[in-house]
Amino acid sequence: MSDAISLKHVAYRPAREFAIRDLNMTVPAGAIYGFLGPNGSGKTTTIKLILGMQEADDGTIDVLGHTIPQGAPQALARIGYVPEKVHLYASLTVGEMMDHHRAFFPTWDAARAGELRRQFGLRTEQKIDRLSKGESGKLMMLLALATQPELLVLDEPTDGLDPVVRRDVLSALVEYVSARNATVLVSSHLVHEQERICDWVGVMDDGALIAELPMHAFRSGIKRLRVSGAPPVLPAPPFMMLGRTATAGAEEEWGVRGWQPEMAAWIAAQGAVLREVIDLDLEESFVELLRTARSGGVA
Amino acid sequence: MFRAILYTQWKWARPVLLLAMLVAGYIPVDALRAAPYKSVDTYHIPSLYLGITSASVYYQLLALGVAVVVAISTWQADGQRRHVYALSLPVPRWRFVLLRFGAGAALLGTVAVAVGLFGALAAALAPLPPMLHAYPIGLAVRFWLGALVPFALIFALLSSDPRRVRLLVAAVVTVIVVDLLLASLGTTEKPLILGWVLDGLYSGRGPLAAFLSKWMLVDV
Repeated sequence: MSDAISLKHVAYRPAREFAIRDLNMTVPAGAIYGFLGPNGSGKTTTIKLILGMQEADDGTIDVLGHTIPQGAPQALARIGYVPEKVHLYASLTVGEMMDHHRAFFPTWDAARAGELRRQFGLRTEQKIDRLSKGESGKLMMLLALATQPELLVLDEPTDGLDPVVRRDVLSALVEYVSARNATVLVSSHLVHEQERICDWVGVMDDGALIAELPMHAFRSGIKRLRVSGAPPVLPAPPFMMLGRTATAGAEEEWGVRGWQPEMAAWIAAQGAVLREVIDLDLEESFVELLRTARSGGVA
Repeated sequence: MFRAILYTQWKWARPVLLLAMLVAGYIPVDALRAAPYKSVDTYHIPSLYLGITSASVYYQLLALGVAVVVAISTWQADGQRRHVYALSLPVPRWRFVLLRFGAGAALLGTVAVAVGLFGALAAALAPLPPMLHAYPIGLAVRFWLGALVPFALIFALLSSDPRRVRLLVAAVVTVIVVDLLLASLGTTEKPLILGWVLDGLYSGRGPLAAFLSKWMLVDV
């Protein structure tokens, strides 16, 4: 499988207090890649680098076979982009904005655009500055999907939208992706939403990608173990110890990654008793991962 | 693509452009009415000349005003959204800037056309004395080229990196202040750098020289 997006050793310092350092990231073609991270972790900056809106200080960026920023116009012709904040011209109407967008994208599908407009309940004569947040979100998604992109880059596309609008937007997205086998890079801090639609996940924190793996591996590999009687110093375990916290009595909770049931034997060999293996949902795994990365552990 | 860009800029600058066209219609009427005449024989040439030369200043002010507004409105909508939409379009940046500039120049052209048409109409309705002729096309071209200069200057500033513009403006202001200070202390006879700059801009083939010449609808 080829890669839709590839970042190698990318460095960028947009401000004195924040920098992206040695960023390596790969979005496989056809994947729905969830780009997770807390606010201010560098997700939007990374997306702007990918789209050629900002120029990296170092490293290489390839998008759909084009080197960025030199090949950005060619790449952008095949990308549908929904930014974090409304970026449309406020004084235009919905219809005028659609006409304007169409002029720049030869792949514009007018029939599909009309269909989406009706599906989203938008009227051509509505002025953009009078649209609600949900309507603006729908219009941006419409513009992105109607260009029939091979790659969709969505930066917090459902942030601040009510559940009904969010469902409309996500269902239009899923419908498009399943019909066209497009690649999607979707950034969000709404972890549960990512869990439902993504098959790859990358976690960003403080300008660095601290994990990148298939969703199933991310979801199943991170566990919380309740252990009692463990010695204070342990030899190297067969799994990755993310964190170790003392709880009541002699019990401890271990956050681990790469857990397999047969590894319980290793715990027994240390003279400890494995009380419980707790499955973590994506949000808990995400928090565990961030906690480890921030305490200097290897994620 | 150009049509789409032109439409957005027309929409943003439309009220000012329409007002400018109305003013362009009023200026020649007012200029030729200033000459009290009943027929060609009773023409009062000095009054007519005064009216026409006053109109020259009004044309210049109109060109300057409309150029400034069109240049600002060209980038305002993009600037408000930090140019995110423009940067997400599959067009090289230089081409997008060129499209915006071209659309702005075309919009200034609409006012220039109004200047020419209304000038021609007013001149046709006024019984001009022999030896005097109307030059509405020449005036319209001069108006358009004259308006393009401030438009281009402001457009260039607004389409540049704001940090660089701030540095440039700070540098220019510093040089002017130092220049004026030296002149006031008697170190130099008159502000040297400012003098050179103004000479460069306004004299001979300077880009603003057009604003010192007369923009005459009627001349010998």
